[in-house]
Amino acid sequence: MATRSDSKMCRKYIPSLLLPLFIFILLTGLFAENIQCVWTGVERIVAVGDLHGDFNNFVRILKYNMIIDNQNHWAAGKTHLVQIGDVMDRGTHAKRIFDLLKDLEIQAEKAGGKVHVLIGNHEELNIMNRSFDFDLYVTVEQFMDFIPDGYRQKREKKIRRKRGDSDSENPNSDLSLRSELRIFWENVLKNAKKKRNSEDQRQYYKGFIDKYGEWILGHNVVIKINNIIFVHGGISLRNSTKTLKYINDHYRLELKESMLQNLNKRPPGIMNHRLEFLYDANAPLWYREFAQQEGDEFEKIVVEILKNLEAEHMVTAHTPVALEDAKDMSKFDGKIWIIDTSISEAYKKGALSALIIEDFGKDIKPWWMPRNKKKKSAPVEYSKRIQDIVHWIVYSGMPPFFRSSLNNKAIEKKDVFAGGEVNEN
Amino acid sequence: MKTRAILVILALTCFIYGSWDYCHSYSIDTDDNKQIDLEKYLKKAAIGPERIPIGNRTDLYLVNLDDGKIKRTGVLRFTDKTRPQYYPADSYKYTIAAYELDKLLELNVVPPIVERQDSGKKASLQMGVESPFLDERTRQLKKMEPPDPETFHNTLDELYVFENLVYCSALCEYIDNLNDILIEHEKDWKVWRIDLSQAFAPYSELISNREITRCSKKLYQNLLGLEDKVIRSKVKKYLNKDEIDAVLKRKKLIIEKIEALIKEKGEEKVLF
Repeated sequence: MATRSDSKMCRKYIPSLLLPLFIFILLTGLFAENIQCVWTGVERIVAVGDLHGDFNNFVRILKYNMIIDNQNHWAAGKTHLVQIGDVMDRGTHAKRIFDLLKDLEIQAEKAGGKVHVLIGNHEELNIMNRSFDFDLYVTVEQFMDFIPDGYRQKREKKIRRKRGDSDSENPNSDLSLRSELRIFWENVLKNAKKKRNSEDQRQYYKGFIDKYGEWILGHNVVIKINNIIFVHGGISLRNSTKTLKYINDHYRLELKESMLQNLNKRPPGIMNHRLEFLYDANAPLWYREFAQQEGDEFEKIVVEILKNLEAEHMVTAHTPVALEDAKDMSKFDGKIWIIDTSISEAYKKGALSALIIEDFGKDIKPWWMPRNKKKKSAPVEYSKRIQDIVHWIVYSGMPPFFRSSLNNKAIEKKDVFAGGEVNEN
Repeated sequence: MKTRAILVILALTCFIYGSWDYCHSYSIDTDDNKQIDLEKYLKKAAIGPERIPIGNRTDLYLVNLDDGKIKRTGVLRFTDKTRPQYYPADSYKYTIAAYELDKLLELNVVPPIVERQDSGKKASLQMGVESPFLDERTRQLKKMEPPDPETFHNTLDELYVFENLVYCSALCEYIDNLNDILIEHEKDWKVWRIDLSQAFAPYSELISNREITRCSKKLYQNLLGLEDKVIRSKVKKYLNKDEIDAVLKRKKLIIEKIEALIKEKGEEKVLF
């Protein structure tokens, strides 16, 4: 017969036993989550490489390739857009890119298309709370964008009170106040980078995770569309024997665990299993061999990797390629494509680029154009209109306003995608 | 005349002192056993402004070192994410703790390393391996054998014992870390173990893919003679209690493993 003290004991211990069970169920739930990672029968795919916070250049690439219209709305019908990771760090507007991608995901789905946002190594670094270790990664703009609004206002209170201004986001706000606030945040960031695990660092991390953590972890590390693998770094020979689902599920779980630990939400001892990807220098988000290796011997390894993955091509990024010719993006007889062309202005040199894949994966064409070095301060929309007109006159023979109804098929793109011919300057 | 003699004596003294100092410093470069001298050099040398990033997830740079007499290459590591707060863990402190154990066991497989302050942050500074080297994975792929295979493979066997002690990384079940074993193949096939910043996972077990099969008599004796309190005192600055306890448990397991091997195969087949 149960005594009163027994039931008291039960009440005392049941919650502490239930908590680990609840977390276990949550994490196994993540495992069981069926996030699709293979698609077939896709006629047109456009893949874009590392963006590193360059919202404007990303928009330009999307507009040039008729993925979005002038209002930044999805205009590519059933096309699949692959953003291959590394939206974050080095540049200024990662948040704007994430927000645009979120919107495009919904719009593309409605139109019968798809937006695939893959996880890159810089998303990994941010989820693992490691970006602050590196001086050049978190810029002041990125820092201010992700820091929680309440904390930001609290930190700015003193300066605003002194100035008698209450809203720094107000466009009519005193210019000198805004520049004072910027200098203030630059100093905060500088100190946060020096002082490990400072309150400012913790707030940035919390703000980023609250807004985008779960969303990023709802995406894949590697996908296959038709006969082509897309992954940020690459799949090594060892990893090529695993299924894509296994790689995605395990990588996500490890990132999730790291995130919970960094938020102090992971009870010690529950998840003590070994890390398979987050310590691996050749993990799919970090692998560089395709960019660094040459020759017949390595090509044999490439063939074996693709055979294991039951694919004909792999599209990767992560290691920037210096573009002088469209061919520079392809290696090992077109089996491997490397599409990181330093799109972001955070790099000294680079080019805008995308990989256009048509005819159900049979026709792969790189598209690229040099980055505008010295842009005039004309509004983006205005300069885009000029570009569109030049584009139209030279290549399409068709007014721009007819384009959206063509579903990207009628325009002869051969010359456009040959690389280098389209020059804004 | 007297003044000239004094000047000559002074000049000679300076020359001899300078030469001795130069030779002494140069011996740092060549003598593997001068770990203390190398530590002094690492603590004193100025770190050049140029930094070549070499880490992926780790904030790690190749730097130039200069103490006014000798120029060398160093490895500067800032990342300091220790357990239990961070997951996965990665800290310069683990590389220093590994070096302390290497010294206690008189193995000389971890390049000398010290704690330094740079750009307002604490970091570790380690000697870079400067002679041409290849990693163990490449050696195995290319099937290269050293001129003295016995000595070389004995060193690797000793290294495997060491890696079990420091638990070379939290994922040894999946990753072999052969890239982190460097061999100076154009010199004397000296073996170095680098990149131990993820070591000391608090696991009381041995590593499955670094199976201990043999061990030198010297290392075995050193393990037997190494007191727990000595280990604690040397690594307590860099490791937490759980990590230290796990090291001590693994030391015990290694000794038990070697004893079992001796019992099974005979001492002459296990100890060299």
